[in-house]
Amino acid sequence: MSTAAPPARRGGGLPLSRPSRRQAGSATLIALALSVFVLFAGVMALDVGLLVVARARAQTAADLAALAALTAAHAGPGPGGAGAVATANGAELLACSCGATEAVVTVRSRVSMLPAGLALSVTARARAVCQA
Amino acid sequence: MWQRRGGRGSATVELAAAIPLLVAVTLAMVGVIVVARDHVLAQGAAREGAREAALSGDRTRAAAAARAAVPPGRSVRVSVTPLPPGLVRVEVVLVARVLPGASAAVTVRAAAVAAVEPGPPPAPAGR
Repeated sequence: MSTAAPPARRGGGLPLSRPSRRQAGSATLIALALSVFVLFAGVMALDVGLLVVARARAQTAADLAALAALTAAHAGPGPGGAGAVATANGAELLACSCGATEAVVTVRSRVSMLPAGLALSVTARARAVCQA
Repeated sequence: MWQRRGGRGSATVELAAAIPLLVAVTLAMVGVIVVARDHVLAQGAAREGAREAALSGDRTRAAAAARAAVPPGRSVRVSVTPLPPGLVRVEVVLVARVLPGASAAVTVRAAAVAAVEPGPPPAPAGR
């Protein structure tokens, strides 16, 4: 009987005591992989949130800078206070094709992402037209 | 038999130990998304207020425009302050409920600065 047992176990796959060890090791691995993945996903969510917020801010800066360029155009065509408005909104003025009745403004702002040191820049454009 | 049971138990325990972390990070992700959404909302409201301030030069109308950009029912605080060289600053403060049902709340603030038209402002109504 005792000589017949090993072939039967071999035929059934793994010895009785093996699955538990393999399970224990794989559970640790799965837990580790899961933790890394979940933390990575968390960082990604944070970064996406940062980018979305930064885009909204840049769009605000572009919008109001274009408006400011047009407001100043009553005194004469040119960027006028567009640069100051963009700076006050946390962005920098990249380009401004500013006429007396139309202003197209491009601004850029820097975003510092979560892995410290990683920084991206977000650009936004806006156009303002004077219909009066 | 004993060893097998012990092995299975430890596997379950190890997986169970990872679940709280999973749940916590998932909830944190939801919180981050909620706060980001409210931040965008506040930023849009501040932009609307600043745009109105730039176009009309009226602070009360600017504050009303900022409030109108926030969905009704949200508690919002709007402040419009003139800056010295022809600028006006609109700040919107929202309270973001991080998780529905939980009392945890984050204060979200956004500001926008616009240039007001130089020269005499239009007759200040209601002030």
